[in-house]
Amino acid sequence: MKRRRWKYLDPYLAGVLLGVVLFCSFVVFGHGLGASGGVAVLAGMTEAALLPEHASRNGYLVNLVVSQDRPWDNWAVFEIIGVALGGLVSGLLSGRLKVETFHGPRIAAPVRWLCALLGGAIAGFGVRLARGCTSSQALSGGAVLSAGSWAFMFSVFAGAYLFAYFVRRLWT
Amino acid sequence: MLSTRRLAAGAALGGALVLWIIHSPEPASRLAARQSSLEKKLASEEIRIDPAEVLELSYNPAARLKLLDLRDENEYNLFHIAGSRRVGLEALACGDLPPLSRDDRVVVVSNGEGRAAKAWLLLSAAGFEKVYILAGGIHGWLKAFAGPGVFDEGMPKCPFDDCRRYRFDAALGDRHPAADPDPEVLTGRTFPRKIELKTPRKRVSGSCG
Amino acid sequence: MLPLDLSGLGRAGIDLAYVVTGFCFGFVLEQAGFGNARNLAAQFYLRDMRVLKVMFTAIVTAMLLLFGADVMGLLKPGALYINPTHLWPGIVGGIVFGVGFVIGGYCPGTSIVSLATLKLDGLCFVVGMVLGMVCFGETVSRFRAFFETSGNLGELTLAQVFGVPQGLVVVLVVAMALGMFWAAERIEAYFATR
Repeated sequence: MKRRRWKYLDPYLAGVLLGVVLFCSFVVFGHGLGASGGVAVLAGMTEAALLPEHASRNGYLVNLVVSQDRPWDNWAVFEIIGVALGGLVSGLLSGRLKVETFHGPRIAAPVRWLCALLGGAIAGFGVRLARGCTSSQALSGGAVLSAGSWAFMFSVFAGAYLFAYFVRRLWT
Repeated sequence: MLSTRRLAAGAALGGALVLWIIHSPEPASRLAARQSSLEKKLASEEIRIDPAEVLELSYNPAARLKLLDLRDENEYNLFHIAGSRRVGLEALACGDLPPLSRDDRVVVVSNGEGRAAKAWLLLSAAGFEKVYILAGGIHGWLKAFAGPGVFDEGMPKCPFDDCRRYRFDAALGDRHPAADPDPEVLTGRTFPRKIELKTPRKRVSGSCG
Repeated sequence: MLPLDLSGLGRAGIDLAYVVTGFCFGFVLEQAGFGNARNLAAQFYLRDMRVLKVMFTAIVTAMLLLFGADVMGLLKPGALYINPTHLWPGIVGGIVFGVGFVIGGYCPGTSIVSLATLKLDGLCFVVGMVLGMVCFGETVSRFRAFFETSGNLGELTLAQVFGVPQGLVVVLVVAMALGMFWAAERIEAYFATR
């Protein structure tokens, strides 16, 4: 068994801390947190780098990335760099920094990798369609009581709970 | 049993109740706070846009133009610009805003500019930054796009320049040809442009893309 | 007056501020155990209600702080970004995202934390997300009307939807969250004995 130096935070305490960070983001920047936006910019940059001519003709991508000289120059990218650093340092300090794969007891790691890839793709698509993810829509939009954000939040829980039965072998 | 969690839960609920009772300032008092800087802007030309520019922008979806008509219902039924939405001044004053995004460009319209100016103040106080007044109001629009005989100089002007000075034979609403003029009327016309559309470089839009 | 005027910081300063914000965000996520897909997925099998607790506590905390600041007149009116409501794309996208979440075990923010702590499944999820987003960018032109106009209600708050004062909505949200936490504790206790 691994020796962990730190235990996980109490969820309510973590929630309060997260809420304070969220509040600070609003009062400093005028808007909340975001994660998927940064990934979207990276996705756009990747596509623009691999298929430059095709990307320049895609209206959606053009607005997202290609029209800027410095495509990474978007607050969302800097924020996810911070998120990665924060996760890294936290993992380092709490003794959780280790190359491994988390998976349910009934499946093996490679199956998990495929599922993560597939789930990520579906999630990536859904997140763009909804114009946000848990950080930007559910947390940030939720805190300012945006109707669309609350609708999104309930839809996410609904989709996940309803589908959970079909993939229970992955996790239980 | 007094645990931290129960205390916190009680504090949260109690705090929310207190805040509800104190409640946020109504738009009218917010308005008082920002009065002088807004009045200066209201008096300037930069927020008045020419009917021709409104027509031109209405063909450009990127402009996100939203026309709000502040006139009475019977005047709206008589004639209104195609695509404009009627909204009451009282509703705006109570904070009852129509669905608008901060990225929309709102043009407020009244007969002259009277009610439009009041609506401009209310919307600006509520934090909307892209609000404009249709220069000359419906009168200006009709002078620009309707044939002779519709706008009637002879009809009396009112205080705040906001009573009706036009006649129609029937209440056509937006079916009158001047409600949706052919863009060809714009060719050869010069007019001052107040709105500049440009592809944003670094949009701090606040959402994920 | 809030939000702050950051023009004095310069471009680099503002970028740094975002990195710092993200750092705090990522740190708390990892400390909460959200870099581990099993913790996240357990929510949907009613074993571990951590996701619900953290999310709604965060929303309630931020909501109370923001509303409190507003009531005290500290906020510039209309300065806060309120996500515009695109009702149907939001609902459909939410359901799709929920499905991806329970298959993949992460959401965008937590997958980055997972990747940062060297988890291979986190890496796969991030790569998957990039692919899914590219796929979206390629296909969106086919359903552009749906994406742009369907249920486009602009900036719409719950208070406006129900026609009640914002303060009441805040109270009701707090009450709802507390009710959910109570239920979550009961559910966890029930499954812990099985």
